[in-house]
Amino acid sequence: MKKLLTILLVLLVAGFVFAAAGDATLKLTSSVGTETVHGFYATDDNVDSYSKIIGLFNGTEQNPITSVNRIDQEVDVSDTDYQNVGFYVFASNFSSGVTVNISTLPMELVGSATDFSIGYEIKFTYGDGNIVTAKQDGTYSKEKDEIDFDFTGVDGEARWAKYDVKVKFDAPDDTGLPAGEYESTITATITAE
Amino acid sequence: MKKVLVFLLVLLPLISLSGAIGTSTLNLVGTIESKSLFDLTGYFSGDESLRLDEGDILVDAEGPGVEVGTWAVAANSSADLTLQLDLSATYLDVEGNPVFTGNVSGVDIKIPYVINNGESTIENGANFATLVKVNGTYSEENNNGSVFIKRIDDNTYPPFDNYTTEIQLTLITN
Repeated sequence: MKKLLTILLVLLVAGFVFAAAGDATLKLTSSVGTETVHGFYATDDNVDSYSKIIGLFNGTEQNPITSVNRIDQEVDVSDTDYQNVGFYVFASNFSSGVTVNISTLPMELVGSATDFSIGYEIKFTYGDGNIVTAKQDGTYSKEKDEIDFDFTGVDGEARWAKYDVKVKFDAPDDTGLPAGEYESTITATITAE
Repeated sequence: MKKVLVFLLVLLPLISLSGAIGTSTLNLVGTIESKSLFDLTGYFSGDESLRLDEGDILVDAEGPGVEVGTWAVAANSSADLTLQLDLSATYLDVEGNPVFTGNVSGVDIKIPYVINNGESTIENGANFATLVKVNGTYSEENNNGSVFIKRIDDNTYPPFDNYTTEIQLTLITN
Protein backbone atom coordinates (compact mmCIF):
# COMPACT_ATOMS: atom_id res chain seq x y z
CA MET A 1 0.00 0.00 0.00
CA LYS A 2 2.82 2.42 0.85
CA LYS A 3 4.43 1.77 -2.52
CA LEU A 4 1.29 2.67 -4.35
CA LEU A 5 0.95 6.01 -2.56
CA THR A 6 4.50 6.94 -3.36
CA ILE A 7 4.01 6.32 -7.02
CA LEU A 8 0.90 8.47 -7.17
CA LEU A 9 2.59 11.43 -5.47
CA VAL A 10 5.49 11.24 -7.85
CA LEU A 11 3.22 11.22 -10.82
CA LEU A 12 1.24 14.21 -9.61
CA VAL A 13 4.33 16.31 -9.01
CA ALA A 14 5.64 15.35 -12.39
CA GLY A 15 2.38 16.43 -13.94
CA PHE A 16 2.61 19.95 -12.48
CA VAL A 17 6.17 20.33 -13.66
CA PHE A 18 5.26 19.47 -17.24
CA ALA A 19 2.31 21.84 -17.18
CA ALA A 20 4.44 24.76 -15.96
CA ALA A 21 6.46 24.58 -19.07
CA GLY A 22 3.46 25.55 -21.34
CA ASP A 23 1.63 28.99 -21.99
CA ALA A 24 -0.93 30.41 -19.54
CA THR A 25 -3.69 32.84 -20.62
CA LEU A 26 -5.59 35.20 -18.39
CA LYS A 27 -8.76 36.44 -20.10
CA LEU A 28 -10.34 39.64 -18.78
CA THR A 29 -13.84 40.67 -19.75
CA SER A 30 -15.66 43.90 -19.00
CA SER A 31 -18.64 45.85 -20.33
CA VAL A 32 -19.77 49.46 -20.68
CA GLY A 33 -23.28 50.04 -19.45
CA THR A 34 -25.77 51.89 -21.57
CA GLU A 35 -26.62 55.35 -20.42
CA THR A 36 -28.73 58.15 -21.73
CA VAL A 37 -29.35 61.41 -19.92
CA HIS A 38 -31.42 64.35 -21.06
CA GLY A 39 -33.28 67.31 -19.73
CA PHE A 40 -33.98 71.04 -19.79
CA TYR A 41 -31.45 73.37 -18.18
CA ALA A 42 -31.51 77.05 -17.38
CA THR A 43 -27.91 77.75 -18.47
CA ASP A 44 -25.49 76.23 -20.92
CA ASP A 45 -22.66 75.94 -18.41
CA ASN A 46 -20.80 72.64 -18.62
CA VAL A 47 -22.89 71.13 -21.36
CA ASP A 48 -20.39 71.22 -24.24
CA SER A 49 -19.22 67.61 -24.18
CA TYR A 50 -20.53 64.13 -23.64
CA SER A 51 -18.75 63.67 -20.33
CA LYS A 52 -19.86 67.04 -18.99
CA ILE A 53 -23.48 66.35 -19.75
CA ILE A 54 -23.23 62.94 -18.17
CA GLY A 55 -21.57 64.62 -15.21
CA LEU A 56 -24.55 66.87 -14.70
CA PHE A 57 -26.52 63.85 -13.73
CA ASN A 58 -24.04 62.45 -11.22
CA GLY A 59 -25.74 61.60 -8.02
CA THR A 60 -28.97 60.74 -9.73
CA GLU A 61 -30.08 57.22 -10.24
CA GLN A 62 -28.65 55.94 -13.48
CA ASN A 63 -31.39 54.08 -15.21
CA PRO A 64 -31.05 53.34 -18.89
CA ILE A 65 -32.45 56.84 -19.32
CA THR A 66 -32.24 59.59 -16.74
CA SER A 67 -34.36 62.72 -17.09
CA VAL A 68 -34.58 66.01 -15.28
CA ASN A 69 -37.46 68.46 -15.19
CA ARG A 70 -37.48 72.22 -14.88
CA ILE A 71 -40.37 74.17 -13.47
CA ASP A 72 -41.52 77.75 -13.39
CA GLN A 73 -39.55 79.26 -16.25
CA GLU A 74 -41.04 82.73 -16.46
CA VAL A 75 -41.94 84.15 -19.84
CA ASP A 76 -43.31 87.48 -20.98
CA VAL A 77 -46.42 86.72 -23.00
CA SER A 78 -46.59 90.28 -24.25
CA ASP A 79 -43.11 90.12 -25.81
CA THR A 80 -43.28 89.32 -29.52
CA ASP A 81 -39.55 88.61 -29.86
CA TYR A 82 -37.97 85.21 -29.30
CA GLN A 83 -37.29 84.60 -25.62
CA ASN A 84 -34.65 82.16 -24.43
CA VAL A 85 -36.20 79.74 -21.99
CA GLY A 86 -33.11 77.61 -21.46
CA PHE A 87 -31.46 74.65 -23.09
CA TYR A 88 -32.26 71.07 -23.90
CA VAL A 89 -29.31 68.71 -23.64
CA PHE A 90 -28.84 65.01 -24.06
CA ALA A 91 -26.04 62.48 -24.11
CA SER A 92 -26.33 58.82 -25.00
CA ASN A 93 -24.10 55.89 -25.73
CA PHE A 94 -26.83 53.71 -27.09
CA SER A 95 -25.29 52.11 -30.15
CA SER A 96 -28.31 52.56 -32.37
CA GLY A 97 -29.06 56.15 -31.46
CA VAL A 98 -31.93 57.90 -29.85
CA THR A 99 -34.95 59.83 -30.99
CA VAL A 100 -36.50 62.76 -29.17
CA ASN A 101 -40.07 63.84 -29.53
CA ILE A 102 -41.07 67.30 -28.37
CA SER A 103 -44.68 68.04 -27.59
CA THR A 104 -46.19 71.32 -26.47
CA LEU A 105 -49.51 72.65 -25.34
CA PRO A 106 -50.74 76.25 -25.36
CA MET A 107 -50.34 78.26 -22.20
CA GLU A 108 -53.59 77.92 -20.31
CA LEU A 109 -55.20 80.04 -17.62
CA VAL A 110 -54.61 78.43 -14.25
CA GLY A 111 -57.66 77.63 -12.19
CA SER A 112 -60.20 78.47 -14.87
CA ALA A 113 -63.10 76.18 -15.61
CA THR A 114 -63.16 77.60 -19.12
CA ASP A 115 -60.30 77.10 -21.53
CA PHE A 116 -58.35 80.28 -22.16
CA SER A 117 -55.08 79.80 -23.91
CA ILE A 118 -52.12 81.66 -25.38
CA GLY A 119 -50.42 80.20 -28.39
CA TYR A 120 -46.70 80.41 -28.96
CA GLU A 121 -43.98 79.29 -31.28
CA ILE A 122 -41.15 77.14 -30.00
CA LYS A 123 -37.75 76.81 -31.62
CA PHE A 124 -34.90 74.42 -30.92
CA THR A 125 -31.56 75.50 -32.35
CA TYR A 126 -28.55 73.19 -32.61
CA GLY A 127 -25.13 74.69 -33.33
CA ASP A 128 -25.14 76.77 -36.47
CA GLY A 129 -28.31 75.33 -37.80
CA ASN A 130 -30.73 72.50 -37.39
CA ILE A 131 -33.45 74.90 -36.45
CA VAL A 132 -36.56 73.06 -35.59
CA THR A 133 -39.65 75.12 -35.14
CA ALA A 134 -43.08 74.19 -34.06
CA LYS A 135 -45.91 76.62 -34.37
CA GLN A 136 -48.36 76.40 -31.56
CA ASP A 137 -51.09 78.85 -32.31
CA GLY A 138 -53.16 77.45 -29.50
CA THR A 139 -56.16 79.67 -29.95
CA TYR A 140 -58.68 78.01 -27.70
CA SER A 141 -57.21 74.70 -28.72
CA LYS A 142 -55.80 71.92 -26.64
CA GLU A 143 -54.28 70.07 -29.56
CA LYS A 144 -50.74 69.02 -28.99
CA ASP A 145 -48.13 70.22 -31.39
CA GLU A 146 -45.24 67.85 -31.90
CA ILE A 147 -41.84 68.01 -33.46
CA ASP A 148 -39.43 65.15 -33.80
CA PHE A 149 -35.66 64.95 -33.67
CA ASP A 150 -33.53 62.05 -34.81
CA PHE A 151 -30.17 62.35 -33.15
CA THR A 152 -28.60 59.34 -34.80
CA GLY A 153 -25.12 60.23 -35.94
CA VAL A 154 -24.93 63.57 -34.22
CA ASP A 155 -21.36 64.26 -33.17
CA GLY A 156 -19.96 60.88 -34.18
CA GLU A 157 -20.09 57.98 -31.82
CA ALA A 158 -20.49 59.89 -28.60
CA ARG A 159 -23.90 61.29 -29.13
CA TRP A 160 -24.61 64.48 -27.33
CA ALA A 161 -26.23 67.76 -28.22
CA LYS A 162 -27.23 71.07 -26.76
CA TYR A 163 -30.19 72.92 -28.16
CA ASP A 164 -31.15 76.52 -27.46
CA VAL A 165 -34.84 76.61 -26.67
CA LYS A 166 -36.75 79.76 -27.46
CA VAL A 167 -40.40 80.70 -27.50
CA LYS A 168 -42.19 83.53 -29.24
CA PHE A 169 -45.65 84.86 -28.56
CA ASP A 170 -48.13 86.62 -30.74
CA ALA A 171 -49.04 89.68 -28.68
CA PRO A 172 -52.41 88.96 -27.23
CA ASP A 173 -54.92 91.76 -27.39
CA ASP A 174 -54.71 94.04 -24.36
CA THR A 175 -58.02 92.86 -23.04
CA GLY A 176 -58.54 89.82 -25.23
CA LEU A 177 -57.81 87.31 -22.51
CA PRO A 178 -58.68 87.26 -18.83
CA ALA A 179 -56.00 88.41 -16.44
CA GLY A 180 -54.20 85.75 -14.49
CA GLU A 181 -51.40 83.22 -14.54
CA TYR A 182 -50.97 81.02 -17.57
CA GLU A 183 -48.94 77.82 -17.69
CA SER A 184 -47.68 75.44 -20.31
CA THR A 185 -45.53 72.33 -20.33
CA ILE A 186 -43.03 71.38 -22.99
CA THR A 187 -42.35 67.67 -22.89
CA ALA A 188 -39.29 65.97 -24.36
CA THR A 189 -39.65 62.23 -24.69
CA ILE A 190 -36.42 60.44 -25.58
CA THR A 191 -36.47 56.94 -26.95
CA ALA A 192 -33.42 54.73 -27.23
CA GLU A 193 -33.84 51.89 -29.72
CA MET B 1 -37.07 23.18 -16.46
CA LYS B 2 -33.69 24.55 -15.47
CA LYS B 3 -32.83 25.28 -19.09
CA VAL B 4 -35.97 27.41 -19.57
CA LEU B 5 -35.24 29.56 -16.53
CA VAL B 6 -31.73 30.24 -17.68
CA PHE B 7 -32.92 31.51 -21.06
CA LEU B 8 -35.48 33.84 -19.49
CA LEU B 9 -32.96 35.41 -17.16
CA VAL B 10 -30.68 36.19 -20.06
CA LEU B 11 -33.40 37.67 -22.24
CA LEU B 12 -34.94 40.01 -19.69
CA PRO B 13 -32.00 42.48 -19.51
CA LEU B 14 -31.91 42.68 -23.30
CA ILE B 15 -35.62 43.46 -23.53
CA SER B 16 -35.43 46.17 -20.87
CA LEU B 17 -32.78 48.04 -22.81
CA SER B 18 -34.67 48.00 -26.07
CA GLY B 19 -37.02 50.93 -26.67
CA ALA B 20 -36.26 52.60 -23.35
CA ILE B 21 -38.13 55.88 -22.87
CA GLY B 22 -37.48 58.86 -20.65
CA THR B 23 -39.50 62.07 -20.33
CA SER B 24 -38.28 65.51 -19.36
CA THR B 25 -40.50 68.55 -19.00
CA LEU B 26 -40.09 72.30 -19.04
CA ASN B 27 -42.81 74.27 -17.31
CA LEU B 28 -43.48 77.80 -18.62
CA VAL B 29 -45.27 80.40 -16.53
CA GLY B 30 -46.58 83.74 -17.79
CA THR B 31 -48.95 86.38 -16.57
CA ILE B 32 -51.51 88.62 -18.21
CA GLU B 33 -52.02 91.70 -16.11
CA SER B 34 -55.45 93.02 -15.30
CA LYS B 35 -56.39 96.01 -17.44
CA SER B 36 -59.48 98.16 -17.47
CA LEU B 37 -60.20 100.89 -19.96
CA PHE B 38 -63.02 103.16 -18.90
CA ASP B 39 -64.05 106.17 -20.88
CA LEU B 40 -66.71 108.74 -20.03
CA THR B 41 -67.32 111.70 -22.26
CA GLY B 42 -69.64 114.59 -21.50
CA TYR B 43 -70.79 117.76 -23.21
CA PHE B 44 -71.22 120.15 -20.35
CA SER B 45 -68.86 123.03 -20.84
CA GLY B 46 -67.93 125.86 -23.14
CA ASP B 47 -69.73 126.25 -26.42
CA GLU B 48 -71.37 122.87 -25.89
CA SER B 49 -72.95 123.85 -22.59
CA LEU B 50 -76.39 122.51 -22.15
CA ARG B 51 -79.64 124.45 -22.47
CA LEU B 52 -81.80 123.71 -19.43
CA ASP B 53 -84.92 125.40 -20.67
CA GLU B 54 -85.58 123.71 -23.99
CA GLY B 55 -85.51 120.38 -25.80
CA ASP B 56 -85.45 116.85 -24.47
CA ILE B 57 -84.29 117.89 -21.04
CA LEU B 58 -87.68 119.32 -20.17
CA VAL B 59 -89.84 117.32 -17.84
CA ASP B 60 -92.65 117.00 -20.35
CA ALA B 61 -90.45 115.79 -23.22
CA GLU B 62 -90.73 112.20 -24.33
CA GLY B 63 -87.92 109.75 -23.82
CA PRO B 64 -85.17 109.44 -21.21
CA GLY B 65 -84.05 113.05 -21.57
CA VAL B 66 -81.15 114.72 -23.31
CA GLU B 67 -77.99 112.77 -23.96
CA VAL B 68 -75.13 114.40 -22.10
CA GLY B 69 -72.42 111.80 -22.44
CA THR B 70 -71.31 108.34 -23.39
CA TRP B 71 -69.41 105.65 -21.54
CA ALA B 72 -67.51 102.50 -22.51
CA VAL B 73 -65.70 99.80 -20.60
CA ALA B 74 -63.13 97.27 -21.81
CA ALA B 75 -61.49 95.04 -19.24
CA ASN B 76 -59.93 91.63 -18.79
CA SER B 77 -60.34 91.53 -15.04
CA SER B 78 -60.96 88.09 -13.66
CA ALA B 79 -63.18 89.73 -11.04
CA ASP B 80 -66.71 90.88 -11.72
CA LEU B 81 -67.06 94.58 -12.49
CA THR B 82 -69.93 96.96 -11.96
CA LEU B 83 -70.48 100.52 -13.09
CA GLN B 84 -71.80 102.65 -10.27
CA LEU B 85 -73.31 106.13 -10.30
CA ASP B 86 -71.54 108.35 -7.78
CA LEU B 87 -72.62 111.94 -7.24
CA SER B 88 -70.93 114.48 -5.04
CA ALA B 89 -72.98 115.91 -2.19
CA THR B 90 -72.30 119.31 -3.73
CA TYR B 91 -74.64 118.40 -6.56
CA LEU B 92 -77.41 116.78 -4.53
CA ASP B 93 -80.45 118.41 -3.01
CA VAL B 94 -81.93 117.48 0.34
CA GLU B 95 -84.05 114.80 -1.29
CA GLY B 96 -81.04 113.19 -2.94
CA ASN B 97 -81.81 114.40 -6.44
CA PRO B 98 -78.91 115.49 -8.61
CA VAL B 99 -78.99 119.21 -9.25
CA PHE B 100 -77.48 121.96 -11.32
CA THR B 101 -76.22 124.68 -9.01
CA GLY B 102 -75.60 128.33 -9.54
CA ASN B 103 -75.30 131.47 -7.44
CA VAL B 104 -77.40 134.18 -8.99
CA SER B 105 -77.23 137.61 -7.35
CA GLY B 106 -76.18 136.04 -4.05
CA VAL B 107 -78.88 133.38 -4.09
CA ASP B 108 -78.00 129.68 -4.43
CA ILE B 109 -80.17 128.12 -7.09
CA LYS B 110 -80.61 124.36 -7.47
CA ILE B 111 -82.30 122.83 -10.50
CA PRO B 112 -83.11 119.16 -9.86
CA TYR B 113 -82.98 116.47 -12.50
CA VAL B 114 -82.77 112.69 -12.86
CA ILE B 115 -80.16 110.53 -14.52
CA ASN B 116 -81.17 107.81 -16.94
CA ASN B 117 -79.11 105.09 -18.61
CA GLY B 118 -81.47 104.89 -21.57
CA GLU B 119 -83.69 102.31 -19.99
CA SER B 120 -84.47 103.54 -16.51
CA THR B 121 -83.75 106.24 -13.96
CA ILE B 122 -80.71 105.52 -11.82
CA GLU B 123 -80.42 106.64 -8.23
CA ASN B 124 -77.19 107.90 -6.73
CA GLY B 125 -75.05 104.99 -5.57
CA ALA B 126 -76.91 102.46 -7.71
CA ASN B 127 -75.58 100.24 -10.46
CA PHE B 128 -75.68 102.33 -13.62
CA ALA B 129 -75.45 99.52 -16.15
CA THR B 130 -75.04 95.76 -16.17
CA LEU B 131 -71.68 94.96 -17.68
CA VAL B 132 -71.48 91.97 -19.98
CA LYS B 133 -68.60 89.51 -19.69
CA VAL B 134 -68.01 87.21 -22.65
CA ASN B 135 -65.19 84.64 -22.73
CA GLY B 136 -63.85 86.04 -19.50
CA THR B 137 -63.51 89.62 -20.70
CA TYR B 138 -65.49 92.82 -20.95
CA SER B 139 -65.34 94.12 -24.49
CA GLU B 140 -66.08 97.72 -25.43
CA GLU B 141 -68.42 96.40 -28.07
CA ASN B 142 -70.62 94.79 -25.44
CA ASN B 143 -70.21 97.46 -22.78
CA ASN B 144 -71.09 100.97 -23.84
CA GLY B 145 -73.97 103.34 -23.54
CA SER B 146 -75.20 106.85 -23.01
CA VAL B 147 -76.03 109.08 -20.08
CA PHE B 148 -79.27 111.01 -20.22
CA ILE B 149 -80.63 113.67 -17.88
CA LYS B 150 -84.07 115.16 -17.54
CA ARG B 151 -85.44 117.85 -15.34
CA ILE B 152 -88.06 116.80 -12.80
CA ASP B 153 -89.97 120.10 -12.54
CA ASP B 154 -91.16 122.85 -14.84
CA ASN B 155 -90.28 125.68 -12.51
CA THR B 156 -88.88 128.89 -13.88
CA TYR B 157 -85.34 129.71 -12.78
CA PRO B 158 -83.42 132.95 -13.16
CA PRO B 159 -81.37 133.32 -16.32
CA PHE B 160 -77.72 132.35 -15.72
CA ASP B 161 -75.05 131.00 -18.00
CA ASN B 162 -73.06 129.02 -15.48
CA TYR B 163 -75.29 126.45 -13.83
CA THR B 164 -73.05 123.48 -13.19
CA THR B 165 -73.33 119.85 -12.22
CA GLU B 166 -71.15 116.78 -12.16
CA ILE B 167 -71.95 113.16 -12.94
CA GLN B 168 -69.48 110.48 -12.01
CA LEU B 169 -69.50 106.82 -12.98
CA THR B 170 -67.15 104.55 -11.08
CA LEU B 171 -65.89 101.17 -12.28
CA ILE B 172 -65.87 98.89 -9.27
CA THR B 173 -64.21 95.52 -8.80
CA ASN B 174 -66.42 93.24 -6.76
